[in-house]
Amino acid sequence: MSPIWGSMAQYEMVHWSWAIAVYLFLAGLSSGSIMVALLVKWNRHERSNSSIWDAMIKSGAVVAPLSILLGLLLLIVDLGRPLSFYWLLIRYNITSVMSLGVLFLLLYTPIVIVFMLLVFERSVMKYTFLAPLVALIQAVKELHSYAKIIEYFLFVTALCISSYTGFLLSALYAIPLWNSPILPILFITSSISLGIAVNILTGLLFFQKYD
Amino acid sequence: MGKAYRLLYDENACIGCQACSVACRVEHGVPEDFFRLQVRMELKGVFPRLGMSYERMACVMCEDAPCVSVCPTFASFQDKDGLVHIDERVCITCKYCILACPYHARFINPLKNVVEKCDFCYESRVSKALLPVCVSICPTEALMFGDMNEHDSLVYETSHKEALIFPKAHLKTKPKVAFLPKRKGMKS
Ligand code: SF4
Ligand code: SF4
Repeated sequence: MSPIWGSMAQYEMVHWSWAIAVYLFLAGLSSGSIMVALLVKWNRHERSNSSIWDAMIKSGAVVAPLSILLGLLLLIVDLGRPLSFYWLLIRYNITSVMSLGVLFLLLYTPIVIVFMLLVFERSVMKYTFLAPLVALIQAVKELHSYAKIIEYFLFVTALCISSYTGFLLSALYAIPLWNSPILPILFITSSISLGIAVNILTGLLFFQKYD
Repeated sequence: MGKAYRLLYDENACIGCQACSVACRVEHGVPEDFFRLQVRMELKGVFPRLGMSYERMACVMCEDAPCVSVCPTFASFQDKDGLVHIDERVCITCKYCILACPYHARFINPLKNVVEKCDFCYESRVSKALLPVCVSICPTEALMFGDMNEHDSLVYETSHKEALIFPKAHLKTKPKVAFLPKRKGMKS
């Protein structure tokens, strides 16, 4: 029923715009594709360069960093005061899923970028304008004895990224439908299925070499 | 000892005149079309048992406040008396609190681009031992405000005489605002 006095506009506003919706998708895409790529790498990686497995790893290594970087941009754009976003990096409220998300993203994003550089090491070497990155790659390769541990760590952070978005929404009392513990599970499932699909698709489109 | 503020809203005494809402606008410069406080009026019931229903819409000052626990930068915080405030300096307007508040109490002030809500007039009045402006202006004394630790206060006495309803109590947010429900029934 419409009210007799007063405006209801305030109570019907959409507060998180399309940018957040797209971000949630991109975060799921990024974490899903890197998780699938890692699982493939650990279980199915043969030395041949032509298998679909190899293409899937390459696809994950490209899709994950690009989509998360685009997502981060959208996150900041949606803030009412984008230029104040640095407070997010200074103050952490561990009871806030958003703060936890910032922490996960700070761990996840750099590792996933390094993962991309390592997978595409040879392409990086080819281009001179990427020369500064070569030193980084060399430095990271010094750590190769820890490679497996770092990959496990990356997998865990990716899992955190794909589930925290679900917890983020399930904390919203204003929208009772989302206020449910099923949401994070739904988010992880959809992120992994998305990862599989995207890795096969971009793998076939861009990284498949036919012998 | 900290204060245990409580605000009571008597639905039986309210006549829906909106004096509280207007006084609040003036006191805090709330922009047009936004509300820190409004009394929602609806005609309820089935003929011939009709009645007006009044509902106070404003922050209820939760003790376990969802807005505080979701705020990533501690911009929403609780003071020593358990009142919830917003530190405009560190609010990044992420809007998480708006969506987390079960009482739809928060909005973005379009002039300042910062989140705003009822603060019990803490800065301008309550900290100077004045009543919140809505309470002091109500012509029918439907609003009562005071400290539950003072046993001779009006809110203490009323709270122990009447059956109170805490809004959305099932969410366990422990509001400091309580309602005296309508005694006259209307069929709904
Ligand atoms: S009513 Fe809303 S804004 Fe007020 S303290 Fe509770 S959750 Fe926070
Ligand atoms: S909008 Fe401001 S007060 Fe609300 S959760 Fe975000 S930073 Fe905190």
